[in-house]
Amino acid sequence: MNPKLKLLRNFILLSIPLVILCALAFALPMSYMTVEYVMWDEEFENSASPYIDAETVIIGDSRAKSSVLPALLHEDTYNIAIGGATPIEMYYATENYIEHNGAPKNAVVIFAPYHFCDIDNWDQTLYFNFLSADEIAEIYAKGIETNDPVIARKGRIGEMVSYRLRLPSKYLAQMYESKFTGRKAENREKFDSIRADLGYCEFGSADGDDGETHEVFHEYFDSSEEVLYYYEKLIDLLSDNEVNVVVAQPPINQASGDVIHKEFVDGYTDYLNNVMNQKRRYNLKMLTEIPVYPNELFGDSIHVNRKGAEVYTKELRDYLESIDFWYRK
Amino acid sequence: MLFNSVEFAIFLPVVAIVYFIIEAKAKSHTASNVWLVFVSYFYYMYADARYGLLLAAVTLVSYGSGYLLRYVVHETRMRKKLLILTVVLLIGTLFFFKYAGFLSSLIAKDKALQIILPVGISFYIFQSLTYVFEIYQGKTEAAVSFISYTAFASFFPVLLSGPIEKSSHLLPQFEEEHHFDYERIRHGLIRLSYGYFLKLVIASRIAIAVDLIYDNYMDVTGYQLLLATCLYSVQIFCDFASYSTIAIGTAEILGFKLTENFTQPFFTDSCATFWRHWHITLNNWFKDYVYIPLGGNRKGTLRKYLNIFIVFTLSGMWHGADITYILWGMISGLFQIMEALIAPLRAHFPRRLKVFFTFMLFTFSMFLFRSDDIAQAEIIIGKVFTQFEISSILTTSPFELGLGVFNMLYLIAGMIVLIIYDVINERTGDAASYIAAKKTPVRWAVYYLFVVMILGSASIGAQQFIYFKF
Repeated sequence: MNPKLKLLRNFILLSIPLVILCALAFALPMSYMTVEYVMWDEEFENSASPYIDAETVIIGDSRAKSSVLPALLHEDTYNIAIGGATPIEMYYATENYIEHNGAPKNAVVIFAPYHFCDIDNWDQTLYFNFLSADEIAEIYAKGIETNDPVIARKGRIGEMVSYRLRLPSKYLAQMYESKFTGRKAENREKFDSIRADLGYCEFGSADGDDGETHEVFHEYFDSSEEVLYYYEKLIDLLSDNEVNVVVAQPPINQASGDVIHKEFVDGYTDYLNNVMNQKRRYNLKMLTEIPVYPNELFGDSIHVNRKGAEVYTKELRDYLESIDFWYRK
Repeated sequence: MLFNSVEFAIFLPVVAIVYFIIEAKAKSHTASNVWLVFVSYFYYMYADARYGLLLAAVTLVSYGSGYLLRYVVHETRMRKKLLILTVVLLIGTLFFFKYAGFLSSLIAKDKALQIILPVGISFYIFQSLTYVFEIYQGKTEAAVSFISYTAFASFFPVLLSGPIEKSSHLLPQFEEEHHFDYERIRHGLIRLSYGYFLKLVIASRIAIAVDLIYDNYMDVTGYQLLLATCLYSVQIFCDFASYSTIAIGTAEILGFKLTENFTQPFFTDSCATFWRHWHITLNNWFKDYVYIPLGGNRKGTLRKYLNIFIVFTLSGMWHGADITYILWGMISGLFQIMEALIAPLRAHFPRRLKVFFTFMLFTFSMFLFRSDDIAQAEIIIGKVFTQFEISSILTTSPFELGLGVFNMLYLIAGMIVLIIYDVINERTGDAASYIAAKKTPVRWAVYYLFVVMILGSASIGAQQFIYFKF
C-alpha cells in the first residue's frame, strides 16, 4: 500500500473513537445536557412549530422567563425568553421566530439591566449550538469591531470550532456527569412543564432570598457596545415588522434595591430613553423604572419565585391594559 | 498556540503537508525553510503579534554576531569583546523582561513596572546564544544562509519551551532535505501521542488534586501537603516532559531530530544523576557555558562545589523573578553538594532507598517551586514538620482530592501506563520504536489505548503548560 494512503487509513481508523464521541454529543443533547438547554430547545422547537398561535410574545432573558406567566397575562401569549440570553442571542431567536411564524402582534421585551453590561453566558450559547455558523460568525465579526472582551477574546475561533464539531474537550465532562443519557427523563419533564406553562420557567423556588443581584456590582452603566448594538437591532426588527412593543423592567429584591448604585440606574435609564427618542419606531413604549419587590417574592437572589411572578404579571397586565396594549392596531 | 489546542490540531497537519509538498516540488530547499519561518512566526505571533518583533531582533543580533565572529573579526581580544557585547545584549533583554518588574517592585511596591513576559523568551534566547558560543569556540560553522538560521532560531516545536537545542545539532538539519517517510512519521506520532497522554491523562488530573490542597494550605495537615507536593513532582515531570515529547514528535514528523529532554529522572539514585536526566538541554547549557568556564571540577573540590552552587542558583534565576525560584535553585545545588560529601556513606545504601531519597529531596525542593511566595512556602514546610498529623493518612481518602472515584481510577491507570512506558524506555532506550516493532494487534491495542485514554481526558481542560511561564 502507498505509505501516504496507509498513513491516511490509519489516521481514519484511529479517529473512530473521536467520531463516535462527537456523534453522541451531536445526536443526544437532551440526554446529557443541563436543564438550561431545555429552554433553548423548547424555544427553537416552538419557533419551528408553534405550540399555540401566539398573538403576544415575551422576549428576554431568564428574568423575563421567570417573571411573566403568559396564562395570567393575556390569552394567546407565549413566553419565548431564554435563560442566559442577552439581546444578542434573543435577536437571532426572535428573527428565527418571525421567519417561521410571521411577526406577532405584540411583544413585551424584558432584560435584566446587567445583561447590557455583561455577556456572561456566551460559552453556554456556543455550547448549545442553536445559533447557526453564519450567525455566530456575524456576532464574532461585530465583537472584533467593538473589541468585545468576551465575544472576541483570544482563542475564540478554536473554541467556536470545538463547539461546532462537538469535540469531547467541550462536551465530555457533561456526558460523564450524566452517565451519557442520565438526564433525558428530567429534561423531557422540564420541557413538558415549560410547554404547559406557555414558556414560563421557574428558576428559583425558595420562599425568599436576600442575596444581592448582579446589578449592584456595577458602579455605573458600563455597557457592552455589542449588546447595545443587538438590543437596538432587536427593537428595530420588531418595529420593522410592525409589532407593538413594550419594554419593561424585571423586578429586583429589596436587598439589591437598597444598595444598587444610582449612577448605574441613571445611566441605564438614560440609555433606554435615548433608544426611545433617537428615531421613530413603530408603537414603542418604555417602562424604565426598575421595580423593587420584597425579598420573600424571590426564589433566588436574581429571579422571582412563582408567587413573585404572579405579582409581577398582574402589575404588567394592569399596565398593558391601561395603555390599551392588546387592542392597538 | 498551545500544543493541546484545536488550533494546533489544524496547524500541524497543514504545516506538515505543505512542507512535504514544497520539499517534493521546489527546486531549492530554501523554499521549505521559508515556509518553516513563516509558520513559526505565525505560531509565535498567534498569541501576541508584538512578540514577533522581539524574536526577530534576537535572531538578527545572534546571526549578525555569529557572522562577524566567523568571517570578519579574527583578533582574539576583539572577538571576546564582541562575544561579551552579544551576551550582554541578549541576556540583558532576558533580564529586562524577567527582572525589571521584580526589581522595581522591590524599590517601590506600588509603582512596579508592568512588563509582559514574552512567552518562550528564556528558551529562544538561550538557544540563540548556543549559536554564538559555538561559533566563538569554533565548534560550528556559521549558518550558510540567513533563512536557515532564522528557521533554526524560530523553529516552532522548540520555540516556547524547548528543548534548548545546540546549533551544532539542529542547525545543519535545516540544510538537509526531509521527505515524507512513513516509518519516521509513525514514530513521531507515537511520541506525540505519548506527550498528550502525559499532559492530559496524568498532569491535568494531578493538577486538580494539587491545586485543591495548595489553595487550602492553611486548613490541611502536613501529611496532605506532603502528599500534594509528591504529586506535584509527578505533575511537573509529566507536564514538562509532555511538552518536550510533543515537541520532539512534532519535529520528527517534519524530519528533524531533537535532543531528548527527560530520560526517566525518577529512576535515578542520586541528585547529581537526576539533573542529568531532568531538563537535560537546560542543564547541559549551564554545564557547557557556565560550569565548565568557571573551572568545572578542575580547580579542586571546594571550587567544584562553589561552581555547582552558582550554576543551580543561576538556573533558579532563569526560572523566574521570584525568591522562591532562587532558593529552589540554591537548595537543589546544596543537595548535590551534601550528597557528594556523604558519598562514602551513601555507597552502603540499597539502590531503591537511594532512588526514594532522590525523589524525596526533589520533592522537598518543590515546596519552594510550587508555593506562590516565600511566606506560603514557610508555612507549608513548617506544617509538614510540625503538624504532620499522622492520623490524617487514614482519614484522607484519595478519592476526596477533588478528582472523585472515576478520575482517581483513571489517574491510577494512567500512572501504570507511565511506569510501563518508562520501564520500556529505560531498557530499550526508545519505547516508541519498541511499540512500532510489535505485531499489528499489539501495536493497534497500544494505539487505541492512547487514543481512548487521551479522548477520555479531553474534558479535563486545555491547561497551559507549567513551563510556558518561564
